[in-house]
Amino acid sequence: MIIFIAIWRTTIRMAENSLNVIRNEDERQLIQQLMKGDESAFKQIVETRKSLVYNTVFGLLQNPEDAEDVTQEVFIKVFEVIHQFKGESSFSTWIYRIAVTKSLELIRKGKRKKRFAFITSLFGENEEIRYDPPEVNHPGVVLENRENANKLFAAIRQLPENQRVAFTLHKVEGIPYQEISEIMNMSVSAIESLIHRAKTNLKKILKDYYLNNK
Amino acid sequence: MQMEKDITQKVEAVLNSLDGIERAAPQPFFYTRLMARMEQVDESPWNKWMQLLSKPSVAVAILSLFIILNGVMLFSRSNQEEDNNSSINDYSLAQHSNYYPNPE
Repeated sequence: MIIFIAIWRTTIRMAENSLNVIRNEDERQLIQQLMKGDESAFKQIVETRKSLVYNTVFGLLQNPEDAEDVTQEVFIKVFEVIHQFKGESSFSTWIYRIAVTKSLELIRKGKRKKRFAFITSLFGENEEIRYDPPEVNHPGVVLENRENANKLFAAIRQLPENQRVAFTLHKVEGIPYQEISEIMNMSVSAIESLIHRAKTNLKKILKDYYLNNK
Repeated sequence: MQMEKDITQKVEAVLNSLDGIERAAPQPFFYTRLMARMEQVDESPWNKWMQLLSKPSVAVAILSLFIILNGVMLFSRSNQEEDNNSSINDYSLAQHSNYYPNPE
């Protein structure tokens, strides 16, 4: 009986391992085809990963129009630099990294525009700058939590950049610490520290908000 | 005391408001819009040049070259002026000295 159970467990494990190999092999072939400029491979990658990218970017930018723009830019970048993917990290991690970089570029651009808004206003420039969205209304949040979630997103916007990224990747995209450490090129303990500090800062920001809005 | 407790509870509720969040997805026909954008980018012949010039390494290299060329030109110009001045001085020195007597 014991021998039978051991054989059964080994068989299951072998089947799981072979499935993982097949899954990685499929992905490997897809990436190789994309490197040759195969449009169908690109389409498959876009269709299977568009929500991953969009949700990450939406979480960071908190605006659907910007999220759509930047999501497109991420996939354009993937197409342009796919030959630079060496397989040192997983393909998803590599895409997350591009999504975070592109999102931060836009956030920093918004901050620069805000800094120079006084000067540009003197010259009559009326370009719409969406760096302070009033309400986020993330579509993935249940209705009864929407109001609280908007307050949380507003507080997240006030965090320092690294804390904002780590907290958003963990809370909005549900990425484990290990993968966040690969995306941000930091140690797991550094990520733990960032998220801990983010929570502390968020508590302080929200406490101040409630004290001032009794 | 009660107010502080209320605030703590509210803060906790806000911090937990993203629990169970589902992924947001882009609007339908995302791939179509993406392809349209990529085709637009491809068609413009200026884009490749502008992309190259907008790279910081290229811009810095061109600026450095410009500064070096300017420096070289200024340096060679100031050397030329010095040579002119020294030859003028030689001439006036020659005029007023007996070394090169004026031809008669």
